Amino acid sequence: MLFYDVLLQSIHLVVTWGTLLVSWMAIFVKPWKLSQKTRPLNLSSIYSDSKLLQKLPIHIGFLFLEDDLSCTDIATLIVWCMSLGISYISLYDRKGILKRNAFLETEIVRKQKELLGKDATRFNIFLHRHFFNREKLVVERNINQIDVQLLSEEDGRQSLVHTARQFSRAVAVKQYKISDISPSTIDTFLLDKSSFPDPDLVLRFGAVDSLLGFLPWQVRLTEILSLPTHRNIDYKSFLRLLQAFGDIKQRFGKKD
Amino acid sequence: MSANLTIKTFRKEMSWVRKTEQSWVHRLCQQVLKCGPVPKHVAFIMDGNRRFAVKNSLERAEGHIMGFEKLAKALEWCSNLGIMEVTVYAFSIENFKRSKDEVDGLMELARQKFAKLLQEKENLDKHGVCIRVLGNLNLLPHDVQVAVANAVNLTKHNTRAVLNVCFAYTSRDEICSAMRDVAHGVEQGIIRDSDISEHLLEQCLYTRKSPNPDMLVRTSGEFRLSDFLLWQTTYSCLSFVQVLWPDFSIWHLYAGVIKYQRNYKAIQEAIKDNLIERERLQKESDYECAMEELRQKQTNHFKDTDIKSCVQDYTKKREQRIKMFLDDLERRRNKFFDDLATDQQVTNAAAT
Repeated sequence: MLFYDVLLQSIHLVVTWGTLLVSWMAIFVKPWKLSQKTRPLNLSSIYSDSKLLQKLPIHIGFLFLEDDLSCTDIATLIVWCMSLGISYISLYDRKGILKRNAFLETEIVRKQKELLGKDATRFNIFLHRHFFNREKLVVERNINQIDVQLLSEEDGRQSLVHTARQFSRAVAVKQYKISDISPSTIDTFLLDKSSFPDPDLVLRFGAVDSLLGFLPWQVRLTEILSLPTHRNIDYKSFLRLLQAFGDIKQRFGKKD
Repeated sequence: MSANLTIKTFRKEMSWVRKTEQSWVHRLCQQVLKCGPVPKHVAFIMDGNRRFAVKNSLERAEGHIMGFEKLAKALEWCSNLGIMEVTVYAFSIENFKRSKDEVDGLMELARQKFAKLLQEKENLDKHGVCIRVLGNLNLLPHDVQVAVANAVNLTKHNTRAVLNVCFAYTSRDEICSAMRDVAHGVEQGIIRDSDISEHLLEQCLYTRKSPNPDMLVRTSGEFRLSDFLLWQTTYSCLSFVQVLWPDFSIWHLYAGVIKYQRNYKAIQEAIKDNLIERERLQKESDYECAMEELRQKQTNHFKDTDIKSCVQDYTKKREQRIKMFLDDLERRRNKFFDDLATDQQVTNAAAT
């Protein structure tokens, strides 16, 4: 019986990790639709790549579900997004390490200069560290304004708790009726606080197949894609995922 | 051809609960899977019934019937693996926007399935199956509401296996209803707004009697949650499967469980951290509230022992308030189902 148990355990181990390996191989071996030539990355080459995509996300979320975070690679991702024309970016790590990181801003500036050269100064990047109590985003946005919010677990369910408390207080002082609390008023409240639209695409980094607390309310219709790691992230893999996003059609529960 | 006619011409009578013989291959696979942790609660987004119908040149309604058939099979596979709770997304509030024919067809299917349930009481009791229906049931036609209430009341004492059917449901609507419930509690003075916590909101959701799903499976190759259990699945293992729901096989389920086991350690760590954080926030809140009360009572400085006993006292009172609030909520929800079931009895009595 002991031998049988050991046999079962071994089969279990092989199957568990073998399937992961196979799925990762599939990601890297997929055929590459866009240009095969390695040309230098700069603003105009990235911008022309964006024109080949079916659609671009308005708000992209990066979930860093790995232990070691690389500021350099995160900054690189931001600069690519900026160049492609994505103006809302969320960076999420469960424990809020990025929020407390003092080097991210300088790293972003450095990467901007490195990748975009003289075009670097074209863009204005704003980093937001608090979900509530943040400065209102400028109403008249220009296309070169990029807003980046740094999020952690406390901005998820806990922000809904905060919202519930606000609504309850408003009802208690007769400012609001209970029937005024609806999915759309809750949505308006959250939007008013964060000024970010719901993310249309979320990219998970790390071998964890879960959202691990990321903005539960806002991910209602978000496309969830993933890559094994953000470290040494390569442009082609990133672009490939954006292409996959562009090919998706949403039906919203109604017709085919 | 209308949806009603199609359903009536469908030959087999399909049961909710079934037990079939398993092959040795499946039994072996289950033994291998049981070497690791097996999810206790799995949620399914059963997407792709209509596309399946189109692909196989069937009527749409038949696609939904095949979908139900697959659900019954999936419940059996889960039960064999030891997954004793399953939640399914049967009908979204968004689906009301579909054509009248299709919505009527789905309501008719629901009527028939819930009516069939009442005939299977013995079978359900034998397997200890409890059926719950979660959603904004007021949006359904009255007779469907009655059928649902009867099904829920019939099986509510069973405890071995649970099937949660999300019907007229969206997650945002559910969270909104929980926020309304706590606002009502604060308005009535049963609880204070500072009593509102992650735990309390969770206890107000339709899913309050269930643990959060360990795993969420979505078929038909879509990579999103579509307003399903957004709160509850934030730490669940997500498994997006390429096949259409009626083509879902036991191997897809096994693959999902393997994925769950690979992610187990990382996810459990995150859940544990979240619970620790909840406790910390609650303790912090109790302390601040207790201190505030103390300040209002006494203007002089106070001893450490005063503070400690004050906080303990406050915590106890808060827990009592919350218990009262939740008991009241439970009473109102049971009343909703009991009133509907009584409607049926009145109708039956009038008919005889």
